[in-house]
Amino acid sequence: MGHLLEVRDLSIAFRKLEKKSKDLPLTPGIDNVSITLQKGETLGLVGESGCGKTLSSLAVMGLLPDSAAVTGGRIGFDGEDLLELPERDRNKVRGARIGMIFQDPMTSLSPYYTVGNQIMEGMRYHLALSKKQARKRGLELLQKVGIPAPERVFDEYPSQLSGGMRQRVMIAIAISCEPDLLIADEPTTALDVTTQAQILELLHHLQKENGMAMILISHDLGVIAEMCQRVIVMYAGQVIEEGRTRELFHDPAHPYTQALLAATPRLDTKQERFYQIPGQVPPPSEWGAACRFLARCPKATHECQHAPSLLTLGGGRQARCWYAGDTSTGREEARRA
Amino acid sequence: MTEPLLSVRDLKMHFPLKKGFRRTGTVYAVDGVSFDLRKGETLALVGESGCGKSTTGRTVLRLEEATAGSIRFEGRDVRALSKKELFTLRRDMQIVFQDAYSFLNPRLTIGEAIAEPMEVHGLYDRAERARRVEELLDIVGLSPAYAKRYPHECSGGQRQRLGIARALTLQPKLIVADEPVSALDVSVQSQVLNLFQDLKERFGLSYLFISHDLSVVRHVADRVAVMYLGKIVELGTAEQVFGETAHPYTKALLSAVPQHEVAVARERIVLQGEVPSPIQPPSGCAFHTRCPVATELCRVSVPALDEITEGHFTACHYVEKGVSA
Ligand SMILES: Nc1ncnc2c1ncn2[C@@H]1O[C@H](COP(=O)(O)OP(=O)(O)OP(=O)(O)O)[C@@H](O)[C@H]1O
Ligand SMILES: Nc1ncnc2c1ncn2[C@@H]1O[C@H](COP(=O)(O)OP(=O)(O)OP(=O)(O)O)[C@@H](O)[C@H]1O
Ligand code: SF4
Ligand SMILES: [Mg+2]
Ligand SMILES: [Mg+2]
Repeated sequence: MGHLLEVRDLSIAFRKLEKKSKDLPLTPGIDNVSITLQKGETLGLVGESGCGKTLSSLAVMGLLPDSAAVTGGRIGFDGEDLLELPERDRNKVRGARIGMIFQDPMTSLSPYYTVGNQIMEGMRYHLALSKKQARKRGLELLQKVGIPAPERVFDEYPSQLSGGMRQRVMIAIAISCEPDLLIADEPTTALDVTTQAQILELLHHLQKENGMAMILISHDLGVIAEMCQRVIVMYAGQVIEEGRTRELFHDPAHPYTQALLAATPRLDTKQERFYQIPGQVPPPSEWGAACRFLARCPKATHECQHAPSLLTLGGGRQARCWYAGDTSTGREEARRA
Repeated sequence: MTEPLLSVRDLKMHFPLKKGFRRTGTVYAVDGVSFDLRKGETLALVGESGCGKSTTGRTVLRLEEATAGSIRFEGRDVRALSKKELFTLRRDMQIVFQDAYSFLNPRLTIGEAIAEPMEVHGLYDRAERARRVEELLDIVGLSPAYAKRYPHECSGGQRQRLGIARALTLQPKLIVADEPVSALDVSVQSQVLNLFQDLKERFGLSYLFISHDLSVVRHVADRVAVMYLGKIVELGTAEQVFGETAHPYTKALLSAVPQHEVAVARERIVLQGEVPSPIQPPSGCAFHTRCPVATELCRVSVPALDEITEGHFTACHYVEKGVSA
């Protein structure tokens, strides 16, 4: 009750398209991922490259690639299970009620249509605006996302824009229908800090104004800290920690989250070498019965040969580690819980 | 002093603006940029979106034909090279593209894409190429299993690392790295940046490092060039630009960096006014429309890029020589 978005135990796997044989083993993508979000709330989604952040969002949007299949779980949105909706109804949700800023602008912008045509499309379809109205609103949106000379950009093709301009065009498209939920996948990666600040401000404003909820995917922990009330950390296809932003950053419970924070470069001190977590993320073929962080974890013991489940630490805090309760607040919260 | 590896003088890249076939204006994307890059040095190019960083990088490698200016690489005039000479030179000058998707051939597997430059240049036999592909994947933190995947089967960060591996295949002398770590989480980012550092120390590799992430730039760059609307407004060592910041624009840029230590919230200088368009750059100092200290002088007269202390240049009427406010 009360949740705008309620993803429960969602699992997704890939099959090789060219091999039609049914008994071919599926490659897992994400495992039992749960994400809940209230109206107007901002949730941060962080984690090592390839851990399944984009995949989870595409599932919510209903835009999984053909080779991916949902193998379990549900995606509740405003009381309905999106996975059960017929495609026609799904289309009405996508773009209108749930908007997405895609990580790779060039995959979602068409090279063959002008920026203007691409901005107007959604508004004409979902909001039934006339061409004139859509154009007016489109120009306003470009202005809002900080594009100098919107009239020029309106008539240009994506290839004529700089990386950051493309990204802002995509942001304009994603918010054009004033969605209830915005999934922003690395929305400011291609942007300099001043433009980034402006975009974050704009998103923040939309949230206050329209009660828009947002899932913010970013590897920039500074941005996450500024924008999000709660954070989910993923690793190798699983949620490994969840909690309120301040607490999670202040006192991370999972060894991976601890390492992630330690690896963040700082502006105020100069370091010769960057801290990197030793080793690599295991590919899905090596996901076995052990904890997926085992080979890289400084705290690992023989116990870790058995994968831990998400341990509830109290105060909305969860972590997937046998020793998660060992941090100071972790212990305290476990006692309180 | 030894000759710089790369020497760029008064580089200009102006794109025609068209409506149908009619020319309606000019985009002054890069408008008189000069810098030197020494062997084993990292020069960072920073500045607001659309200020001309990528265009500078692409033009230097002649992926785009400059409108004017000179580009010298190891003393040779890059703009005068024939197609064939340019092809050979490309072995020494590589680029990591900002948009990994735009250069990847969707029909090649990752392994094939990394091996391709070696094949094109007729380097090594098949077995050696395969060995190198595996080594390069490992270097950028991907397991060998990824060699058989296609680009669309990879995450954003995995594709970005593929771009880096590909740029390294030919062991170049110069890499133009255009936002090379923007899609990477901090740990993988560290891994790549450490790798860049190692290659620099071991082989004297030089980088033109384009990034908007100032905390990264702070650590990797020997020197930093700050661009605004197609021009360099401040240039100096990383210590000078970050520690003795001179130009008002650089100051605003530095004050906007978010930090995850919530406690150290700094006073933010929020720039007023809109980013001007590179089609009609403002008169005088292009920054005057947003500069907190601008005066009438700034509106009418273009400040020159002057040396204020040794090796520290800035283009502002109100930064005095020897003083860095
Ligand atoms: N079509 C596909 N076939 C097989 N595997 C895929 C496919 N698409 C994605 N994957 C794999 O699924 C995993 C999750 O990918 P996803 O794009 O969600 O990562 P991510 O967390 O968004 O990472 P990044 O931060 O690098 O963008 C990755 O390891 C990726 O290689
Ligand atoms: N092929 C082109 N045709 C017309 N204009 C172009 C072309 N390529 C770039 N531009 C324009 O040149 C300017 C500089 O673009 P550039 O890509 O160099 O910016 P950038 O500094 O790399 O920005 P970002 O940080 O957003 O990547 C922009 O206004 C852009 O629209
Ligand atoms: S469960 Fe063990 S291996 Fe996994 S993160 Fe915790 S300590 Fe490390
Ligand atoms: Mg992603
Ligand atoms: Mg660029």
